[in-house]
Order: sequence, then structure tokens, then C-alpha cells
Amino acid sequence: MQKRELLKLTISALFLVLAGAGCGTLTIPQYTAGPSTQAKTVESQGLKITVDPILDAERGNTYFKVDPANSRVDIIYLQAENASTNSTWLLNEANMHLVVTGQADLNAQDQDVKGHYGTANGLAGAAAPLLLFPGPDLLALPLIFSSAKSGSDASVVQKNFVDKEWLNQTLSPGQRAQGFIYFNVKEHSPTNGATLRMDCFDVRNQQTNTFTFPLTYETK
Amino acid sequence: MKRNNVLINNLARAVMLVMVVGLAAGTTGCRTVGIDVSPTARIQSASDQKIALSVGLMLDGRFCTNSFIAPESGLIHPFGPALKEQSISLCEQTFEKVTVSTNGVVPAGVDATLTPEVQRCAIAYQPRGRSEDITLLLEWTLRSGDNRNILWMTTVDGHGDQGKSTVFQLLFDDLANKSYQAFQESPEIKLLIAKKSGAAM
Repeated sequence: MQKRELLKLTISALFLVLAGAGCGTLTIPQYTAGPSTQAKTVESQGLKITVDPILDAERGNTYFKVDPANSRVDIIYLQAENASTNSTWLLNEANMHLVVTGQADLNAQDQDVKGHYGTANGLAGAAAPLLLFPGPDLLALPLIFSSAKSGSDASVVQKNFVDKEWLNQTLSPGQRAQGFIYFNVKEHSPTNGATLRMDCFDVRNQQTNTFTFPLTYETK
Repeated sequence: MKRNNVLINNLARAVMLVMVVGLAAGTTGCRTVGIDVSPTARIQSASDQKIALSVGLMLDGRFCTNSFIAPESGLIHPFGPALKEQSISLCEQTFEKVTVSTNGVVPAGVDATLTPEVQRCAIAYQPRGRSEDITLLLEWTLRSGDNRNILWMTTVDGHGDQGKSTVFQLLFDDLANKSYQAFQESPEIKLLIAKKSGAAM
């Protein structure tokens, strides 16, 4: 009798584990859409930069599995092209800032800044000796880590952010690149305007070229 | 009625069993993963002719002791020692002369310094831990011989996405091959070689 109960118990437990774990692995497509119609482009000294915040649920859900309106991470698509003949432009996240109207501007990688607009950049602090991926406060993704399946899905979602991230680099004449930058947003007032500021440095001529993009947010 | 009660009891016990096992698995503490990779960088298309530059390879403690804790599993991945070995091997296979600095002192007489840095890392798990899928972003910065001015920067994205036994070797092979290719194709490195040979003439 006890053996039968144990057998039933084991079968029930296995059923629950399998039901919780699910069968398939979450797959997220690569971003091939390019900039949308709302993208803004600025060209200066031969450097052409296009910025496109991901605000629509369709692109957010398809390419990041997050709803931009409810997540606390701002996702911005970035495309850059060096059309100059004698400049090499450095574009790295350390020189990308999100400036909120009425607030101090925050460096994209400054982990010590504790401003109203939150600490950015949205992903882990690579500067620390021990690399830690963001906790729920850094990447407030709408996921519940209650089962093996959702846990693995969460890891896929988080890795997808890294896979699509802008790669810090210099662009030599004729080169172009694209990727996403992320800003962690702890408080987001719909009435506040925001500006993306990028200080691009010409390493050949030792000059800085600053780009500013006014961004309109309707997220919270 | 009695059968239903037995069924409910069994399900309740099963739920508790799953919770206890899950809790036990989740509270075993942080474990360290062995990063078992070849000590030399395995470059598929390595050329016999090295880049005619003398570089100072700047390896700081943060890079050499780099570790990544996977948030889902709590597993510690000590990439640092392998990153150090592979970086030295990669540069020695790429450049004519390499002087390694681990104390921040810029080696004298080098044409340029090269500094690697881990920009980001992430690991995705298959359900029930069948396999791992790793991405590691490795940033390379080339500076002038006095280590002041940035001349060139690139970030390579290394991927390893198979079974646990080979995933790290695949990751480091990918990093080595992409880094090697980036060095070979860099217009700024070519410019530096041209300047050096022009100055020597």
C-alpha cells in the first residue's frame, strides 16, 4: 500500500515538474528591421548617427520580450556611419548620456550616480571585478522566476539584451555599425522630456563632436 | 469521496516535494565552474607573418581575476585566468613583439599599448540545465606608446552554445578568431605600421 502511494506521489511530482518546465526553448529573433519611421538622424563632420527609441509594444515584445510601456529599461536603437575621409570616430557607451529635463545628466556607465533618473546603463556593471548581471531593479523584466522553464526563459531574455548591445568601437572612414543601448529607468515622468547626448571623439584629430537627440517618452 | 481526498493529499504532497527539492537546489550556495580551455589561443587562419609592431599588453587585476556569476544558477564562472592566458597567446601569435604588463607600468619602447576588457557577459540556460549558451563581449583598446591617446577600439562578441563540456572552448576560440581578424583588418593598426616604417626610412 505504501509502495503504491509512493509511486503515485512520484508520478504526480514528475507531472508537476514537467508541466512547470515546459518543452521548448524561448527563441528571440535577431533585429533586422533597421530604424523605424520615427527615427532621428543627425550628420556632422561626416559622422551620421541615427537614433530610434523602441517605444512600441510590437518591437519591444518581438525583439526583447518586454513591453516598453511597463518595463523600466529604455531601449534605444543606434546606427552610426563614418562618411568622412580623415576621421576615426570613437563611439563608446561611456560617452553616451541620457539627460532629463530639470535633472542632472547621467553617464551611461557611471554606476555611482544615484540620480532621480536612476542608474544607467541598463545592464550589468562590467567595471566591477565580479561581474553581476542586473537584478530585478536593474532590468525590471516582467518575468516570474518560479519554475525551471521561466528561469531559463529569463536567462534567454537577459542574454538577448547583451547579444543585441552596441559594441564599443572606433569607426574608421567608410565603416558603419548598429546596436542597442539601454538605460535603466527607475522613475519616468511622462511630462519630462529627455535628451540623448553622445560625445563622439575623433581619435585621429583629437576633437569631440557632440550629438544631441531630443527623445519623447510616454512610458512611466 | 475518499478517493478524491487521497488524490488531493497526494497532489499536495507532490507539490511539497517539488518545493523542497527546488529549495534544496536553490540553496546549495554558489558553486564554481571549471573553465577548462586550451592555454594557447586557437586561431584558425593564423598567418606566418606577424604584424610588424611592438605592443605592450596591459592586463590589469580586474581582467585577470574576472568572474561572472550567472544570476539564474548562482554559478561562478572564473574567466579571468583563461582570459589572461588566451590574451597573451593571441597577441604573441599576432604581433612581432609583445611585452606583458600586469602592474599598470607601460613597457618602454613599445609602438602601442593594447588593453583588453570584458564589456559584458551573459549565459542562457536550456530548461533543466541541459546546456549553456554564453556570450562574452571583449573590448580591445589600442593606445599610443605612452598609453595616453586612444588610437583604435573594437569589441568582439564571443559565443559558445553547445554542451557543457565544450562550451567554454568554443567561446574562447570564437573570441580569439574574431580578435585576430579585427587586428588584421584594423585601418588604424595599418596606419600605425605605415607611420612606423615611414619614420624608420
